[in-house]
Amino acid sequence: MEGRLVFPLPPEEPLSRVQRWAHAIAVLTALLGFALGFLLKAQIVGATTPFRDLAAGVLAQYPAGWLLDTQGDYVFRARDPGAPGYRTTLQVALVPIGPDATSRSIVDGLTLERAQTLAGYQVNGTEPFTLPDGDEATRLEYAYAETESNPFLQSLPVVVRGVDIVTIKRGQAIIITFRVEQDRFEDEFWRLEQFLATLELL
Amino acid sequence: MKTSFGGSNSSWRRWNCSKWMVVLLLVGLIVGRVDVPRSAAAQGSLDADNIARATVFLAGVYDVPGGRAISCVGTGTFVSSDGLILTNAHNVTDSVRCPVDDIAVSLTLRLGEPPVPTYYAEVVDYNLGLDLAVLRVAREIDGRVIDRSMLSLPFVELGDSNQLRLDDTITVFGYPGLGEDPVESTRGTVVGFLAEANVGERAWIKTEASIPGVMSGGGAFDSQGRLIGIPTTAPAGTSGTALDCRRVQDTNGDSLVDSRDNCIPVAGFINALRPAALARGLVRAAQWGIRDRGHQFSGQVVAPAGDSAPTFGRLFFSPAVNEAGLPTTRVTQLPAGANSLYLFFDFANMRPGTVYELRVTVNGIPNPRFSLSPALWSGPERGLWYIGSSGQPWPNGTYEFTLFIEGIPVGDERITIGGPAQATPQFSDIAFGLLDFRGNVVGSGYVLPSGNVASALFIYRDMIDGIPWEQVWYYEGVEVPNGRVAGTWNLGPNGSTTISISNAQGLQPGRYRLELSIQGALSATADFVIAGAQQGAFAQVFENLRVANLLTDETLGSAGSTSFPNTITDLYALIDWRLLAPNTPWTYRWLLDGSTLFEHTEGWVAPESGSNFWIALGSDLHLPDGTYTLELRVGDLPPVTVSARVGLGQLPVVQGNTASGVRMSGQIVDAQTGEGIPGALFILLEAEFSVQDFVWDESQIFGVSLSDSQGRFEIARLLPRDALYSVVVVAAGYLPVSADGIVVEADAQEPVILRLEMNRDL
Repeated sequence: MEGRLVFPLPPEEPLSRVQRWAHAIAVLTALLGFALGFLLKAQIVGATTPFRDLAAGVLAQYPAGWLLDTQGDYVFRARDPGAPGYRTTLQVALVPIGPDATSRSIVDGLTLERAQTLAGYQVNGTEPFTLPDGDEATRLEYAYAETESNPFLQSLPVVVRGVDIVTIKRGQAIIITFRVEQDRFEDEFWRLEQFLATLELL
Repeated sequence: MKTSFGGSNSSWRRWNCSKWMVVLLLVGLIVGRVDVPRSAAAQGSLDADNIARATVFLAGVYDVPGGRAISCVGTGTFVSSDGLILTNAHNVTDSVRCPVDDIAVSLTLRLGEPPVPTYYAEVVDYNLGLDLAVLRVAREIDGRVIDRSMLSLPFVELGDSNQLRLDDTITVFGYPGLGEDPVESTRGTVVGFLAEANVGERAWIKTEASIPGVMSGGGAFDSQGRLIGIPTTAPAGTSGTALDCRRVQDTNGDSLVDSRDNCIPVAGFINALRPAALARGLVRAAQWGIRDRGHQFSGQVVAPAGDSAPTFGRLFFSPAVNEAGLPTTRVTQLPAGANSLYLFFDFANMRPGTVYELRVTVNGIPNPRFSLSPALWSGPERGLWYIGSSGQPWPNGTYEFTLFIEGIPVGDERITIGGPAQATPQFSDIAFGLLDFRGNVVGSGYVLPSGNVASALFIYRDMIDGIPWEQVWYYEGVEVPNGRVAGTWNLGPNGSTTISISNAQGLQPGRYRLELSIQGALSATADFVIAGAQQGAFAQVFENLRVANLLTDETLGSAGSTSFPNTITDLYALIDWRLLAPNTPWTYRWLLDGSTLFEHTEGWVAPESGSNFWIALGSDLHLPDGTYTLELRVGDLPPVTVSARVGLGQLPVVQGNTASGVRMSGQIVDAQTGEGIPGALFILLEAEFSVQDFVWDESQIFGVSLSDSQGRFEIARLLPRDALYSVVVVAAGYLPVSADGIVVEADAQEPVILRLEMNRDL
């Protein structure tokens, strides 16, 4: 007869109240730590810098750490210097228009102009859009191939997706532009939403 | 040049507070990297690298069955960072010989490699006579319109070609083949200057450098790397067919390349440069977007010359040219030590674009120094022309000058230089005018007002009483009735005298000529013009000059204006004129703030008298602020001018890019693998900002470059010397890099080439 070695289990004793609290606190602390971590990350990633141009009547918050440019034919342009490839861009431009212009006619004008200057420019759709402040606008979504402007550098074209929000205010067209590399469009789209939520057109 | 670094980190906290390692692992400085074959690698401050990149290959292309073909090729040079190209007009202007629908611009993207078609350009303006044109990059090679404000191309600055001296070293850049060869440079010296009518003593710079004809339109540079000349020659040929032509394409779509296909004309070798000074106005106008809109007259325009064949004739030599571009005397021999000689000849039926050439042999041996390779005609349709030089030695020998039109010899003349000076009877220095009450000849010299009498004063030397002499007067090439007077000399050996021509009905406006002969041989000759009304001893041809910005019935009848807002697009100078015969040469010149933009000399095309002849300037956008002046001349009459202010009346000061400075480029690599990092952002801050000051505002940035697929980057603007710079480098997945204190010393001449290593962000 084969013998069996048996280790008797210690008798189960119920956890003390202190132990139960300790376990609960440990779990809560861990959850709190995670939450705090996410919060901190969100704060860092979503941190913004204010932009004010009272002459143009534009107030906005753009992502902190982005390159700001106010020297071009736009009120404001911010680009993400850390983005790989194409630098994600947020831009606001004001364009004088005639009394009969509509946001749709402005969108058509943008399309005609860009088809001349952007490689493979393609409109993916236009639709009515309502700005956070309730103003009506037209949303234009498009794509094109971004190429290096310096012919002495060898770079492959990058497919860029863009969204323009076009609205008319005080006799001028306001064009809000968001452009990002195609692969990152879904991940970065919240940048535009965040920007629109902070945008004030005076 | 020294390179030094100092880390700084505070500005990074905001951006990425947990990633705090600023590492600059290596900055290498490579000097003297000149990869251009046969280039001037050891040449002082001439940046051969930059010049090679600024030198472009141009191809005129046109549509053929089944595609496009090349019609003409040449070289050009970027003269601005936003894509203005200076080249020869014959390379890019549409003609029977060279049909041009588009101009393809190929760049040297890699030194030592053939150029790559990159852009299409359009002609901004050109001067066919000077064979100079300014192009502007307009479209990408795939047809997209270019935003020129985004361009930052390598370019060169124009130098002062008037400062060139004999034996100065020059370096010529260009493409020697039909696009299959890399850019080449060749070095030579200035061996002389050629004078030509209409331009003056420095119409051409002569060099002994061996320059292939396809390099026509490229650049010749001084030791400082400034563009001082444009190698120029045009393919010669008749009936639209060049003498030397390369067939490389099936242009008729028959799947064969044979004699029925169009060919690409090529010229032989270049031995002359158009001075950069002649291009300065064109370039300046192009930079400001100003165009010469020509001139017009609302009435009947005098028909241009027919299709008669162009001719040269009456070739003779003169040792000097007077202020009116006329020969002082005629010589058939010059003593040893002569340093000035000009060939004069009559021309007729010449047209813009006609190719002519001068070949000179000395004792039967071709002499390129005094020859002129085939060039476009730069004068009017008919008249008296000269070509020659002064201020440089003409060695002893027998010279034979042969003139060609479209490659066909049309006249030749010989002269011997050497031996002692000989005292032979001679007339010289003819000047024309009216006689005052004392019997003196007065006036401007070669333009007389309408009247009954024209007088000529001339000098005589070593004359012998009793020898026969003759005066012959011509009007518009035809001998004037009773205009031939022969006689026997009786005024003694030396002095001056006056002769006259008269007509009771009045001398007709137009071009006159006087020939003086001694013993049947031409000794002196000069042309003069009768034009305009008499104003004292002078002629008044143009009057009532005024300026308008529109052509309407109202402005045509108004007194014009002297001040305009800077929103106008055109300026019209309106003039009335009196007694100016058709085909009489006249000159107009536009100046902006005192600097010449355009200058043209041509034959008058309107009737003898009239009003509202207009000459215009324009801009596609609007004319820039400035004081615009139009200057009109007939012969040696004092110019008449009219000016108008646009905007503030002075050109704005532009802090534009400069072609002097130091180029910065390099490669960003992975520190572990050594492979290039594509898509890394290299930021060079303005000299006044350090990394610590940088708040991610683009106004603080001097230049920025995104690294290419090999990790290479390049700051397109040249860095001013004697300054400290800071850099910031960002790449996804890598720890950022920054550095202060990169020094570009005042005497830095060579490009700064950086190699930056980045560590992965684990």
